[in-house]
Amino acid sequence: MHVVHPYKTRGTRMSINVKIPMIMRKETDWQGEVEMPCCTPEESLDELLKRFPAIKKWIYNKQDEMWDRLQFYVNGEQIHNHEMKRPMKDGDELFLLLNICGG
Amino acid sequence: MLTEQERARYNRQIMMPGWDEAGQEKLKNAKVMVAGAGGLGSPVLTYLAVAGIGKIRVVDCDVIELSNLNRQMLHPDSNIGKLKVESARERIEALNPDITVETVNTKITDGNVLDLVEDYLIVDAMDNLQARYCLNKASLERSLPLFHGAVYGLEGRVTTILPGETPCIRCLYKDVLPGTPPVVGVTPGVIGCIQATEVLKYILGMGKLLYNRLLIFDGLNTIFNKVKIKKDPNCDACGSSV
Ligand SMILES: [Zn+2]
Repeated sequence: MHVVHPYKTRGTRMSINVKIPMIMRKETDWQGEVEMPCCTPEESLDELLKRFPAIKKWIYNKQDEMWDRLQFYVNGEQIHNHEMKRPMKDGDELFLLLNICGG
Repeated sequence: MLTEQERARYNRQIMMPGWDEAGQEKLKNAKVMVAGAGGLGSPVLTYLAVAGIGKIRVVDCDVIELSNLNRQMLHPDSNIGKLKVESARERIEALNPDITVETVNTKITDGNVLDLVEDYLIVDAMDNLQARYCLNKASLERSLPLFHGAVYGLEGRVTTILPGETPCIRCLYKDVLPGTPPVVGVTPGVIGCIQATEVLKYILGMGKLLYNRLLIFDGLNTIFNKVKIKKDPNCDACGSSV
């Protein structure tokens, strides 16, 4: 299937790589990494939800608040909630992490 | 001073550059509390015991069940129904009679954690966030390092917490996935071995520890990722307002 990404229509070549936790991959057709034409972590998350709506249960609770058990890393550095609108550069990597607790 | 038997027992690690007899004596004089004698506790206790940690305190409140045995390799099938701490003692004493094992069969709470920890280094081999918070409290109050590990399926995490220098457990975890997680025995095997490695390096003052870093093991794809974690300035336990 040929997909036209929004960035191509805008004439820029912005692309970031989103890494999906293993636990969520059933909802992403077992894809562990997806390319996104987005500029911020928040936009990437929205785009991810658009592409894989079933992933929503891992991101938001029933009140539509983001789970506290989710963490975000840009290029390996943790970002907190107030940094979700921070612009990213072409080639950056957004890493989603779900907190686990087994022993 | 090491005995002749100890020199022989630990010879192959004393040979390590920078370890020497002086390093082995540091291990002999060390005290480590391992909270949890389950999936993570099994490899942690095994490798700390054979490495010659002088005093190991094991804390757990469970009895061994058949469904534990796919991953809790410290315990033999014949010990089903026994206290985990007693089974752990048997195994550790059989592995290395030159060290001292102390056992406490109790649930770790905010009320007892400081008495349990005393001034021992703390290994977090627990399976629930509440107990991890208790250990975190003791680590912060006593300025003791906390060696953290967690697993789910074929995925694992490790970090080493140094109060004042690194994020604490509360900075890292506001919430975790609920429920009984799937666990394949090899995952706590890998993660517990890394926790034990961190403990040994800490005591010996060797190498670089997992301070301010979270190591993520993806066993399905055999990938290790290391990410930078940050202190939460508003953390209830270690934040600037505490
Ligand atoms: Zn903290």
